[in-house]
Amino acid sequence: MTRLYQQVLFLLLSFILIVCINVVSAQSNSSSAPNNTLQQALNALQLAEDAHAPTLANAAYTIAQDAYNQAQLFDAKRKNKDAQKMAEKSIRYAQLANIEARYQKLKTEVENKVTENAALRRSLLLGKSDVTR
Amino acid sequence: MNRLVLIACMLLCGSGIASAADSVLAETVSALTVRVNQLDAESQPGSYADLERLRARQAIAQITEVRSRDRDDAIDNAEVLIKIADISIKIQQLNTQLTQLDRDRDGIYVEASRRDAELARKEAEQLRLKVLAFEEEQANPMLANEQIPEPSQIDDSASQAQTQRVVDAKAKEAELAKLEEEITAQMSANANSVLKTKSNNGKNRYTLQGTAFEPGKSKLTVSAKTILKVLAERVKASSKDFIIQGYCDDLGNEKNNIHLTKQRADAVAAVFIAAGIKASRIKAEGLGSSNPVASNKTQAGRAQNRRIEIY
Repeated sequence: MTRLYQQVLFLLLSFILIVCINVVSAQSNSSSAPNNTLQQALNALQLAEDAHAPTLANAAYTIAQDAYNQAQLFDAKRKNKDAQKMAEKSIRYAQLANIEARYQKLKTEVENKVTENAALRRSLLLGKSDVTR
Repeated sequence: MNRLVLIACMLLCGSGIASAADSVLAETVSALTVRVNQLDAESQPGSYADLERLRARQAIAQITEVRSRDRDDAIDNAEVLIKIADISIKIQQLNTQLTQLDRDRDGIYVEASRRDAELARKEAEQLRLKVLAFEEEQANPMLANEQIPEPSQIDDSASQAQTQRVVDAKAKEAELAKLEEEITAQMSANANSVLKTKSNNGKNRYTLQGTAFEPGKSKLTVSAKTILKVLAERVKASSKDFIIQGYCDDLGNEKNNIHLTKQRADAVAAVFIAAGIKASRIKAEGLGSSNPVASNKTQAGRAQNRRIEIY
């Protein structure tokens, strides 16, 4: 009985040891510096800004900007893995913001053209002479 | 013994928690996969945003492959990529709509310029007749005396104004004719992509591409209608009968495809009939996805297969 107890205890201790090693390795952030990813995130944010994302896709752009700021903070603390994750998050949300902004712009353009064509058709039906290029 | 039971209970609880977590993960992956499948359906028939949908699928596949501590990030990544694919499809649909709106606007301008030119012609003709009548009156003193007792009373300024109106109307007519010519030339440039003539066993075959219709509908675009009117005018003098066959790509239900192609063929036949060709000389058929002229595996091939052929 005592022997079985010792075996179970040994197994439990081994399990706890393995878990601890994993946790420590996860926190050590020993991978290479994410400078390249940070630069990519900055570029993606710039592209989103060029597409007027701060006004047309504010939610996604804000998440991207916050993630970039956090990535910078982690980078300053040499927590490279966390910085890498945050920079990647910033990139994907900046891309989302960029495409959302383009979509909003295009949508407005289509709505304007629909209105314009409807007005032209109305003028044509009413026989007005202002239907010219 | 009690300790053993306790350990066994702990292990059971642990495995229970693990299986519950697996079940939640499976549900999440399944929900994301359903969303991508919906996007696949929405992207038809244009097969839009292929790359974005592929990236979303890859991101979903990665969720189960990454370590548990990276799983939340992987799920977030997949969700964002699905949103990007969704918006990309919408952007491509809007671009198609934009092109269609531009064509419609061109059609409106052509109609407007024709109408204006016609009005100007009528006005010029009326003025010309008035001038002729006035000149005849001047040339015939008897008639002039009857109608206008004192020649000196003829209002020179009125005559000049009338002449000026004739000149203005002629100038306007010339300007409108030039504008019409310019727009028609642009329409013809578009028409080349819409309508092609090919020789097939000695017969002329006219092919109208699927872009002549609104997507998924049987309504002809304004520009396509204009082109068909021109074609009908050109061929109506011929004594031959016409066969109009509608085709589409192999996407979707074949029964629906046949129905849609028949409606499209009927729409083309209606333009011919309106142009003065007898209905008894026209046979309209919907042949669905049969007789493809290109591969249905590519987007470009499918676009070529969506067509109307007129013999």
